[in-house]
Amino acid sequence: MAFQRLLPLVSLICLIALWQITATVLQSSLLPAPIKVIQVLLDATVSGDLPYNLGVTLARLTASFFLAMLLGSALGILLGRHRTLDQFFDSWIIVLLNIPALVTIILCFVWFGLVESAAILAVVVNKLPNVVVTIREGTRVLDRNLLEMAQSYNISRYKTFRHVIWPQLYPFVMTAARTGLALIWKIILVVEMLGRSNGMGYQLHLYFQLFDVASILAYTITFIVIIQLIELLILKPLDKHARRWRR
Amino acid sequence: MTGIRIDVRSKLFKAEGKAKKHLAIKDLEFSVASGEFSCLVGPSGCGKTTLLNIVAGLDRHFEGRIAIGAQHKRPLIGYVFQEPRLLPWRTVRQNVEFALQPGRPHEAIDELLSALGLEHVQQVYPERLSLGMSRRVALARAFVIRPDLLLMDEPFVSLDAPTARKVRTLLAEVWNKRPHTVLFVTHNVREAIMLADRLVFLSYAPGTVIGEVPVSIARCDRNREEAIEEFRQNLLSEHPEIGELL
Repeated sequence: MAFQRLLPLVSLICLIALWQITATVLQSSLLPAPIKVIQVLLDATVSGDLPYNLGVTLARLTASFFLAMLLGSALGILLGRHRTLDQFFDSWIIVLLNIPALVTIILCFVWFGLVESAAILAVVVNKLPNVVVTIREGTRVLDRNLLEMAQSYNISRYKTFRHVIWPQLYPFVMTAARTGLALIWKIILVVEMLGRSNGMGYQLHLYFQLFDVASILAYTITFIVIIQLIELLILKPLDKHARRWRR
Repeated sequence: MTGIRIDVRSKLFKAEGKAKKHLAIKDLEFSVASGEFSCLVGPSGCGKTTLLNIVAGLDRHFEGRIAIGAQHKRPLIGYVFQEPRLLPWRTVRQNVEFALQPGRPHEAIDELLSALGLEHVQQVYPERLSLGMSRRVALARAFVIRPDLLLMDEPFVSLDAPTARKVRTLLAEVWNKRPHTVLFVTHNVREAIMLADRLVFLSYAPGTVIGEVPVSIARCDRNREEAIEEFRQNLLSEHPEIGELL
């Protein structure tokens, strides 16, 4: 059992070892050794470059994530409950789902200029249809029996939402949040690369032009660590809390 | 407590998907006096559940009128459905508390839970309960609000006989302590005789009243099998049309 628990760690060490061996064999600046990447990472942290750009990107991520989740959930619930509205907007959503992210980003920058709000809007527009579709699905499968029960007991709208609807939607919201976060991470870098002069995406673009692979990898590692922290410290506990009543 | 007057001229279900349109209820008229325990007895498909949904205000697409007590205030209704309909993410106690209305008087929850034999599971989530226990929780949820009107839709169906008997006895005990106006739906005549002050028999679809019979057995004799059986035999010989129906 102890071995099973250590397995992820062992696998990580193997990966780093493999990387080290390959780097040693190749001896190329295009694949720096792990130790070199760590050195760059520390330097960038001390100089303040990394924390600043990471902070900017995280702020954009937070803003666009919550906007997309709030708007998407409201729309999803609306469409899930009203068939006519749903039929009307269904084709719109399919169009939005299928527009390449790059196109929305370019259009947002062209139409609204190279400004912060255009950047956030571009991310929100990319993420929104995903949330809508997931939450709409959740709303469609709400248990009618429980809703009727609440209605017959004359339970207020707020209490019904809080105790009957929300717990049923919760898994769908979590799914939307998880897939959404992954999607936003990827899109936000492209947005920063194309139209902002700071943030992780901008930095990565800069290092790409300089062929500075060590810096690119250092930023990437920071990225992975942050995602893992969000998963471990926020999403997992939320999930666990929501599942407490399950056998 | 509140009396209720039911007058449903017609209830039509529209054709939907593969289901054809059909008339579920026609000219159904009767009253339940304040504090009376009434049992609606009829074969399945006679519109009993439909009628309860109409009375509960869940179904407003019908012709006719339902008058519950004084008109100016909305009556408090406790509805025990065929399935327990508990919120799986709330404990037994929280499920009972869910029905409470802010600022309205209610039963003492601890007493009610122990009267229904639920005190030891009050912190348990419904998934861990047996069906019999879940049904008792649903009963507690309906009783706790001191409803003006209690609606029960075959609440003991699909329980094994001993459990059903036990829960039925519990229901009778709780009701004896504080009689509510009850409309209880069942297709089981013995169950109806054991619980009710009055039986109202419904015909097969479209549902309409074909007879009303008061139950004359004293409350203290209701758990005597012979008394129930004797009453049932008399009922069937005096009203052969009811026997055909069931």
